[in-house]
Amino acid sequence: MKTRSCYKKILKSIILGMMASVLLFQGYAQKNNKLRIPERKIGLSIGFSQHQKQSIGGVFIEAGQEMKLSKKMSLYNNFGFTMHTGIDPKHDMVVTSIPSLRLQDPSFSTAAFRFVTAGIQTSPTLLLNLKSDKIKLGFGPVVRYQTTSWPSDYEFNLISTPTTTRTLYYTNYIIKQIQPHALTGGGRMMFDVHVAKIKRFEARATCSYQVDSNGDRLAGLGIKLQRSYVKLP
Amino acid sequence: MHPSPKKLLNMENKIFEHSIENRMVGFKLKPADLVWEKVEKRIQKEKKRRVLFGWIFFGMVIAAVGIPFFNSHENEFQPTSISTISTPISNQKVVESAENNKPSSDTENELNQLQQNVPSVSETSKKQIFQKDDIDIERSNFVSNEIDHPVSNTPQESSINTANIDRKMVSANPQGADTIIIRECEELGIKSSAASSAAVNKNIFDRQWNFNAHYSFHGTGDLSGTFIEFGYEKKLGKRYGFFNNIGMTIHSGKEFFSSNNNSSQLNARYNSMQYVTTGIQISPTFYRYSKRGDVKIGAGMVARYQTSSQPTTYSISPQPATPGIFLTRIREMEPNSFSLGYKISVELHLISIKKTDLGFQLFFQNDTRGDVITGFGLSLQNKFKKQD
Repeated sequence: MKTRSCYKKILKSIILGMMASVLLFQGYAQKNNKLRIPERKIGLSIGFSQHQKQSIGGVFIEAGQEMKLSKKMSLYNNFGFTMHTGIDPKHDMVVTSIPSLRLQDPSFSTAAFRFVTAGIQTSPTLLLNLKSDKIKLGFGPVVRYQTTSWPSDYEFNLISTPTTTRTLYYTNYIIKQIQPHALTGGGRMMFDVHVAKIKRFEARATCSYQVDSNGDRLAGLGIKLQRSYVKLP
Repeated sequence: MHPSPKKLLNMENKIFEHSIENRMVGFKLKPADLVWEKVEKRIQKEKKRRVLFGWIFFGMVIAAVGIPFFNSHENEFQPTSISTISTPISNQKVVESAENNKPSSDTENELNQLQQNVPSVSETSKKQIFQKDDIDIERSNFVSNEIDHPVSNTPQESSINTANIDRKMVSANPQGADTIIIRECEELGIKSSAASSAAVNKNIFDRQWNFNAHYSFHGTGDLSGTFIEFGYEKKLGKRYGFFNNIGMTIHSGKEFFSSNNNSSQLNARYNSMQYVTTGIQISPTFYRYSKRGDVKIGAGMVARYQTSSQPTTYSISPQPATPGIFLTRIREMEPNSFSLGYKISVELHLISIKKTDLGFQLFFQNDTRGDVITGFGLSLQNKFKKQD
């Protein structure tokens, strides 16, 4: 319960921060009432991701468009996809701890339960450009749909049945609770560093951390490839 | 406080630069005469080269401007003009007057004479002429180019008896400079047909970003989910396109023996086993557009990486002690796979707002792993032209 209230507080502060910065930008835009053609960038990010709640690793892919609002601020609209996969650690721990299992029962066959968690999300992020765009720091809300095969509560059993000739073994799982589909809201923090630039193309290293109302915590580290363009009026 | 070594180095550099600058003030170098002659010759050569390049460039510009202009005038007069059946008015004086941009009195007189001399074409002969499908375009163009001139246009229109002339429209697709003319017409408020404006847009925007979102099924419908794809399409000619993309699929399903029936409900908790299959894929696709451009059919290759939580061999049995709870025995798993396949899609154009199009799409894909993925959904397209 404490963690949930903590997430809510973080989420609240992120949303308030976003609103304040948008209002500030509006004021700035009204003062500078000149014709501006903002620089835009379109890009694809790809990298490794860690689902910290489920302790499983995976990848993320994100396509996004960045638009400069002012010299120091830009808005990054994106659409992302995450894919995490892992196996039940209890299974391997138990099965490998009894080396004589397969000797006693040659017909013993078992496989660990595999968890797959996939999500699609969007997170309009407000980026703060530091050191002449070399470093970018971003904050923004996240709306995420997630589907998972990871049970929040389950039981793994190794059962032995002695017969007259030998002992037979088998394993089973009992799923007690699972939340397969979740639509959540949250906040995301992003950090971008310039790596290389060739003509209009730019490569940046990116890392992000996000939390949502489902209690999911996702950390990502990857590379972002961007192409800058100007949208003519 | 002593200055840092870096600052000291900078100061030394500045002092050195100043001293060099002071010494160089008023310094002049006189080249020897021989050297100067050679330098002069080289400069002249470069000048000649520049002039030559200038002429070539000028010629290219003239050609670039002139050819479309000439073509546009040809197209304008492709509808058979009056002069094809009237006697050829390729009189030298008319041409001359046209060249001078002034109507001469001789020309007017001659035209009046011509009007009188032109034998009125009988209805039957007119029909005979126009029933021929192959109209002598070369001839009509030749004559029409003469009439095209603003000076010769008015007297002819007024002097030639138009009652004896039939006009036949020859359909001409807008090409090249014609698209500009249509655009100009649109800017002036002259409405062109929807088809022509679509043709203009097609010619202008040859690339587009596509975002496709589908409701999708994996296998024979036991797993359902979404398929999302974004990519870049390049038009190849009028009716073909090449679409490079990256797509993601998420499919999920529940164990059949489950006690919960509404496992698809959001943010709800259950106790049945769930299967999730997710994949990343690329599918370079060739599109063929229909004549009107509202339907496109695509076919392409698929390279797909998939990960799944569904076991290949497993068994489920009810737990006798607690009804509604099942024991799942997993024997074999093949979680990750890489497969190749093909994808076929059909898209129907729904609406377009400015540069954005919305379409309805259906697709079917099959791969070497034996997975069949089908789906239907919406396709959002943003057209643009490549900036040089």
